[in-house]
Amino acid sequence: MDLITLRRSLEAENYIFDEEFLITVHIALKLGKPLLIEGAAGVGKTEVAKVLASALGVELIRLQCYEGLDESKALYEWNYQKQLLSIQAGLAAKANLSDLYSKEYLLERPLLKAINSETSNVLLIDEIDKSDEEFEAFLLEVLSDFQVSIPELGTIKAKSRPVIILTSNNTRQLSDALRRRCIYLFLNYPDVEKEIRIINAKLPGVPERLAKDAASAVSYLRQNSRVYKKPSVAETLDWVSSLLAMDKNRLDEDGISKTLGLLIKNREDMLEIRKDEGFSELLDKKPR
Amino acid sequence: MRVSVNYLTKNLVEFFKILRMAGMSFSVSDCITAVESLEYVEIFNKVQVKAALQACLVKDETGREIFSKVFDLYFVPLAVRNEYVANRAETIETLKMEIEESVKSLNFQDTQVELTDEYKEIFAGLPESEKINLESFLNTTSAGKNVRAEFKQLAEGTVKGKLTSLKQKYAQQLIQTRGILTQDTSEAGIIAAEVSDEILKANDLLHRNIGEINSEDVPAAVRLISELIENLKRELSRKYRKTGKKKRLDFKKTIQSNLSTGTVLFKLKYKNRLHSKSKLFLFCDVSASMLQFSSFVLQFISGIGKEFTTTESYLFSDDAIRMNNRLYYDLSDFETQVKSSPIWGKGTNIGVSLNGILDNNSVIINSSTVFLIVSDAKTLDYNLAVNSLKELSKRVKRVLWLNPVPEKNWTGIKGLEDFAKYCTMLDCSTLERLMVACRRL
Repeated sequence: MDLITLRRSLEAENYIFDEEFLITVHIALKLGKPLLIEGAAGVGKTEVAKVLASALGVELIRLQCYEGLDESKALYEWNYQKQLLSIQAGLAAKANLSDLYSKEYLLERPLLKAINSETSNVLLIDEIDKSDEEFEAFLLEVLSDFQVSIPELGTIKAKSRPVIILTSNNTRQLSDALRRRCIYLFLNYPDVEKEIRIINAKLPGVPERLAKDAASAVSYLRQNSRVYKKPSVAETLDWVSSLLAMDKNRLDEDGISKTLGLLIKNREDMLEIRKDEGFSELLDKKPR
Repeated sequence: MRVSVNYLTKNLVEFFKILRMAGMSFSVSDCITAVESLEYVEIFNKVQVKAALQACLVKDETGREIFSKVFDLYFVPLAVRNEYVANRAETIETLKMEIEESVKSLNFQDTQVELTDEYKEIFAGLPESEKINLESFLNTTSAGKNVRAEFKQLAEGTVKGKLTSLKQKYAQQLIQTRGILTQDTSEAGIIAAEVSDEILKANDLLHRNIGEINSEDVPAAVRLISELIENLKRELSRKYRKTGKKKRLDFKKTIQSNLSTGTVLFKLKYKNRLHSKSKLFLFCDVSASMLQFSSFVLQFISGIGKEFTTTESYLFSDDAIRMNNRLYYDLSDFETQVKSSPIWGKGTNIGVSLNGILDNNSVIINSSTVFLIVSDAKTLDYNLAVNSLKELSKRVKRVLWLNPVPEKNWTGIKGLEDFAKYCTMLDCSTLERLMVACRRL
């Protein structure tokens, strides 16, 4: 897929992006390298994989990482219930049981599914920073050679190279070995202008004034160092949707007080915002 | 065509060299990938070229900042770049001369005082009044009765000591002259230094010695410390949480639940493991030698107290006392309480203080305790301290030691090597070092 086609495909998905994003994704696709996306929670890292799968017209296979994730959850597991039943049945029928460790008894987990797939797909390894270091090391073979090794079956190479996307919230440092194998993309919260474009793209029909007010208010909250949990892009969209449902065409105190819970998710932040004069001024400036 | 390819390659190689000099780290294979990536973009489109090279060479957020600044300085028309480099080189040479000229006024009995480049830069960056003070000190000492030429070394030592303390006082102002005398004036050296300086100035607080953090920097430092404590909390809970990977099979329950399938082991049942949460025990040095770090230490204790609900906190110098956790929420109350405690600013005896904890039956320390010591490790009776630490390390899950003295100076602290055998000692001399330490946990 060339650059122009990729741009059009992403635009067709209503995805708002800048040139840096487009070029980085294009280079990752062309060089066939995994794409590592870092950024704060809620900037839309996971969304990239979803949009890309949709734009490329391929299946999205997702592996959600967490502490304690191991090969049996990520790569494969032997279907031992099926093996036991075969043994029982085989003993009775005196059948040959030599193929107990064949693909027939293999349970595919996301990584193996992506590698074994006949057609290309997007493999999303989400929140890699939440997994253990051992798992990260285990992933290196997949990321560099697009293959996995199963002791009983040998090495399985990818039939069709998956597009691999890794996301990280940077809660721990990823190893240099992993970073070296990836193309890197850092996503930041969108600026006001970009957020307005996102609101308009995702929620057609939002009054221009409301989109602008909401984007400015969210930007203000994200810049406030006392706000612990910054609002994500998805939360902005939920918030604007709820304001829209209340027939608001601009941001006012009534709308804020009734819907702030969609944007701010903890008590300390809520108290902080309510006593923040800067935020109140943002509303007071609006013509009545 | 061949010429232009070579020219581009030469430019790129020089660019990679500058990036590395400015602090970025990437492999030869990354360089090859970066060059390959240019095949897929319009080579005359600067935005596209920048994004392509960045995607292949940058590996983290800091690298991104360095890359962007170096790219913007390097990929400009050649004449503009040459002019910039020439101007900058001239400025640096002038500054070097000014610094050398400035220290010529520091004489002991008509002989110039010998100073390292770092001290020369500090002196040159000081306000005039401080320079005059130092000059008159040397003049007065030189003219003293029975003062012989051999006293020069003594005077030099005093000047260096004075300059070290002034470095702390004028930290912000001295950034201007820092590293000038050792600055490389080649094109690569100039661009790399320019970018490193900009980044250093932007993150100055992070790299400044924690003893040099002024009162006006405290709010920014508090924010950084809070982030660091948040990291520490995450790292501790991560490292010590049971992952459940090595579950033990519960045979009784497994057989019971598989009776329906004729005891064919269809469903395996595992024993539940208890979730063991680490408890943090903070043991903080507030003796006289730690007073220079007091601003950091107080913020750190307060931050830890707020973040870790299961924290026990003890302050120590020649003895240990327990801190009231409820005080953490009001920093001024907390500060008053700490500063009025009987151990504030006294001598240090880690051994006695630790034994006070170990022998106290009401203090709960066990295999789920992470014992965090904040101290410069300068103590009386270090043999006793080593033994106490050894005993402590047997009773707790882990002993972490945050030392505000830079790692390069640890060799000068008696007994520190022995302490390090029974704990993980981490350099927290700057907030940046503390951040690195948190990541190494």
